[in-house]
Amino acid sequence: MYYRRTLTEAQINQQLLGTVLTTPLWWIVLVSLLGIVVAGAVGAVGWMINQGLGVTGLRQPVFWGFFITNFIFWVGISHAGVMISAILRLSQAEWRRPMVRAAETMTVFALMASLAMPLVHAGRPWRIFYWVFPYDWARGIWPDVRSPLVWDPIAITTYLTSSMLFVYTALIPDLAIIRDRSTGWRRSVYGVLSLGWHGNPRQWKIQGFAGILLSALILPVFVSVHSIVSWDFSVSLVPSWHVTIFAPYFVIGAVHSGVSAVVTLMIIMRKLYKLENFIWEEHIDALARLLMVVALAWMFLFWLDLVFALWLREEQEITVWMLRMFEPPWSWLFFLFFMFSFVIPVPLWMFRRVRRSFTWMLWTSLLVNFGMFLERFLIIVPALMRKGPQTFTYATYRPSPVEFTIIFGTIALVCFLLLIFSKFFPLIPLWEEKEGQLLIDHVKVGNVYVPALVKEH
Amino acid sequence: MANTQLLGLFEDPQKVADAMGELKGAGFPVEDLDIYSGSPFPEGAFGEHEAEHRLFMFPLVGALIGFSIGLLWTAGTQISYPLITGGKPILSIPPMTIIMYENTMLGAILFTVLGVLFESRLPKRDLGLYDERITEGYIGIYVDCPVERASAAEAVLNSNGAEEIKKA
Amino acid sequence: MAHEEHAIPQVPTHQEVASDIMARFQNVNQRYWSWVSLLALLFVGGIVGFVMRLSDGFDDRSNWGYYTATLSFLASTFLAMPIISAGLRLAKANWRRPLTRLTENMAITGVLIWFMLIPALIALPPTEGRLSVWFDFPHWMAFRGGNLMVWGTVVLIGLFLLWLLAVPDLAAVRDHMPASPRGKLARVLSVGWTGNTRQWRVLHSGALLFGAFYLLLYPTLQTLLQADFQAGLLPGMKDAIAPATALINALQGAVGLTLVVMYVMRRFGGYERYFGIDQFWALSKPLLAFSLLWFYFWWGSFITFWYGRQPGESELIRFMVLDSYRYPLMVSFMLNFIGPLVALVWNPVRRSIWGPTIVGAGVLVGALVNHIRWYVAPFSVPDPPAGEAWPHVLPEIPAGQLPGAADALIVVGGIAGAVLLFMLINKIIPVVSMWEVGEGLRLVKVRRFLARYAMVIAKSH
Repeated sequence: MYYRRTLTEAQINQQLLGTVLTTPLWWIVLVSLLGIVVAGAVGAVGWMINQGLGVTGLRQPVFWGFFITNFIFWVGISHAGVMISAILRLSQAEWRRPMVRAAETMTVFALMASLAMPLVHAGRPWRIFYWVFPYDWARGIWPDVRSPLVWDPIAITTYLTSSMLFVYTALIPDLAIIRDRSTGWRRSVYGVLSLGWHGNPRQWKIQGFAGILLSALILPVFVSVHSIVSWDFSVSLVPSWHVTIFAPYFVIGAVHSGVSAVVTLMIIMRKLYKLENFIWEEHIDALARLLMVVALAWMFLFWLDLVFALWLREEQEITVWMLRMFEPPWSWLFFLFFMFSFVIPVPLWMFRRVRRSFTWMLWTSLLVNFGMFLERFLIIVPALMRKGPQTFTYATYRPSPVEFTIIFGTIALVCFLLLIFSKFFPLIPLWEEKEGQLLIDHVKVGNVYVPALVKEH
Repeated sequence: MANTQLLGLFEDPQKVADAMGELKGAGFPVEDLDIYSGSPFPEGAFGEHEAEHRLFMFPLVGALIGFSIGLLWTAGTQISYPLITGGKPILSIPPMTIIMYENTMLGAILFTVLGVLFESRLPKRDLGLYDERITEGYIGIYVDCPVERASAAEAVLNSNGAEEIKKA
Repeated sequence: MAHEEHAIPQVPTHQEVASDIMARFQNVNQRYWSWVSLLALLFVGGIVGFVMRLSDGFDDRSNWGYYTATLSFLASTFLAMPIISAGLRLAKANWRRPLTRLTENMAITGVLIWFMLIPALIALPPTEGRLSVWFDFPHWMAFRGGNLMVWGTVVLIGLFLLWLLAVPDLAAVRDHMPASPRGKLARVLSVGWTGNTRQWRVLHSGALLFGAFYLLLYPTLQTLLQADFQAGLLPGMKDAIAPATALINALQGAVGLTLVVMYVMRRFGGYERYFGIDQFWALSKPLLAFSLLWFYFWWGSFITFWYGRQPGESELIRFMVLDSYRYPLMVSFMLNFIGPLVALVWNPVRRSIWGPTIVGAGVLVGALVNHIRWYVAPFSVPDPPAGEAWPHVLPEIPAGQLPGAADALIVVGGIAGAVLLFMLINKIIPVVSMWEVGEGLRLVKVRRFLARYAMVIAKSH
């Protein structure tokens, strides 16, 4: 890492608390526009509830379509938070500092968006509550714990709760900073939220251990969540779903799309919030290198999935893969998915100039996420289209405008929530940035000053 | 013997380290001295008292509680409503394992957060002797001492370049 | 604890380190030769066992199960160790410097492993009529030629990496021991190295590049190992996660073996100052992670089969998990998952020399037992009668197969042969990299930080 000029604590406070203490016009415009899109999506959901699931493209036998694809997509995006925050915290990577909170916050909101999708998909969302509240307990009909659909909400709520607590715990010192900069009712509110934080060595020591301990605990949860979502598919007997590789394949795909989403988020944040002093080329360079490793691992698992799918030479398996890869329009989608998820971005990321360019990284990261959405779609829908062995059961699926509206609405929702969050809390941890600047040093080797870090142990 | 409190504010961390050294040399117990800073410094950077904690016990306790709850409700629901699905036994260990695992981790994480608050001695209703400039880069030395030693403490803080000394 | 943590760190000079390592390298004492002799004897015993099996021919494939398990164990521990060097070098971890050479030196075992592969390939039935990754390619070209080529490439890249990264130290051996046979060999192998800027740049780039090649190609080796020697012989075995499982197990085994070797070098080689608490503590974390992943990958396979309850799947679960190989699975479950989890979750255990070493040793034993389960089981499944197609479901569940005398000799002899090669190469190439440790020392300084001392560490490049 090559470090820039150091800023004083007062300067860091001023630059990172800009949108918390003031409200720029662009923020109001953006929140309004996103709010309109979200309202449109809510309207579409209301229309769907009123008219029935027939307004979507779901038809026998394809009863999982865009909504479930979107569910998995957002659970995937949510994996970025733990990947960036927990793993890099445990490996003491200095370059994590500006991104941890934004990634963790994106995790929380992505999980909220993902939880909304099964509720929307149910068609009559209120019926879901009969499943968990006393109505059915009174009759002794308990949820069936053998069903992966019961594992899903347990895993996702565990992950959501853990992520929210993770964000809050690391936010406490920054809440104290905002408390000290505020007056009136805002000071009272931030005072309550900061719990009376002083910043003595005991509190800082516990804060450091908390980061490591929570990271170590949340990592197994992060692996389990998307694995459990994958087992919704692999414990069934639908051709091309009943494979053992799905758990790590889904997880690594989630990391791929999640880290790409973090890249997108960091670049947009840098532009909107004028964070040039905090988000540098070195950060996206490091993220791009991480993405290359993840993409290669993902490609290995994809290849295993394909080879072993054809291994037993079962007719139905081959039918589904032929549909995915060779029958239009699914073959076009497959081509796009492969190009966007791997073929275009990964070779580009091998070039240092690309890795250190904000423009290139923005577009490649967006491509990856578009490609990974298609990947989830291609896993789910073609398999259901050829689920039955008899050809007269074959069908197709075409998403309706209602589904498109709701999907775009979830994207707008996550962006909307992030903007609202940034109004009240800083997206870059102030205390982490200050700590990072404190530990900067150099080692003189000959005539060269090599950037270095002070290590506590 | 009545005690009083002082808070000396410094801009330069080196002066804080020097002042702490002098205070300890002047006989002020290190347990009665504290440092307030807006960002973490490496442990022992100011020669302060190094806190011991039992944070690691909290996730263990939480995990045990979570595991027990997970076992109870997965086994309990299956025994209460013994319906065979997919040819699987009434008490199906593999799916129980998944839910018990999630509950274990949730318990561990919840108790860890409680432990963080407990060991940090939070929440604290009253900030007490404090200054907002601490989160602007100033570092505070908090001294809890008998009233008759307050002037000595003040002298040490002043001689090491304290910008301001607040008293309780 | 406060005194230990905040005492002034001591940083030796490059010259001190180089002299110390060279002195240990030059010293070939009686104890060393005793161990070499013992290992050679055990290796000869392994050859005797191999000849006993060879005399029975290849008609009964069950005779070659333990042989293949040994081959796979060696490929998944000794041959996986260069991955540690390559991976840590890519991650620029400073604590890696003392241990990279010993992991690279393990690449020499690839020579033994590649030759061991040949009889194992002969023992396999042709691919025609049975399911394999080679589909309908002619078997001599496909799995025999393909395996030899892929394994051979991995071994060659490993050997090249071993040589490339040793060149500066071979030059040091050349200069310090010019008249001795080892010095003369070093003169040839060091290819006139002088250490100019261009040479160092090429060395660093080559190390990264070939390390990346090794990292990319090794998973293919594990894929072929699983596909050809296990899945291809087990009717109904459609387990896409198996190669990934094998890869994770290999990484766990490699870390475990590194810990054990480091402990032995400390205890018997006098290398305490190089293999210290930092190295053991740092390696204990990936060991814990891989142990958790061991269970995760096994579970991914199990839960899919358990839920599917398809005809082929139920038989395989009974064969590999619940009935015939239940006890080996339980042993490896304890040693590869429960033991490491229970032990390494405690910081005092992780942050010690003995803790990770004991866990690492347990992991190795568990890995061996697991490999026996993975390969003895499929090799004990008989071929279908002549003229009949290969079934998609196990027709009957074979009982577990215990090792015979020849099998025991092969297992012990194979491991002894690999260790013997490692010991021999350590007296041609120093087991601790003088140039890499020296480079690290130049990037470290001690400075006063307010009221304490702290280490300042720079990253190279």
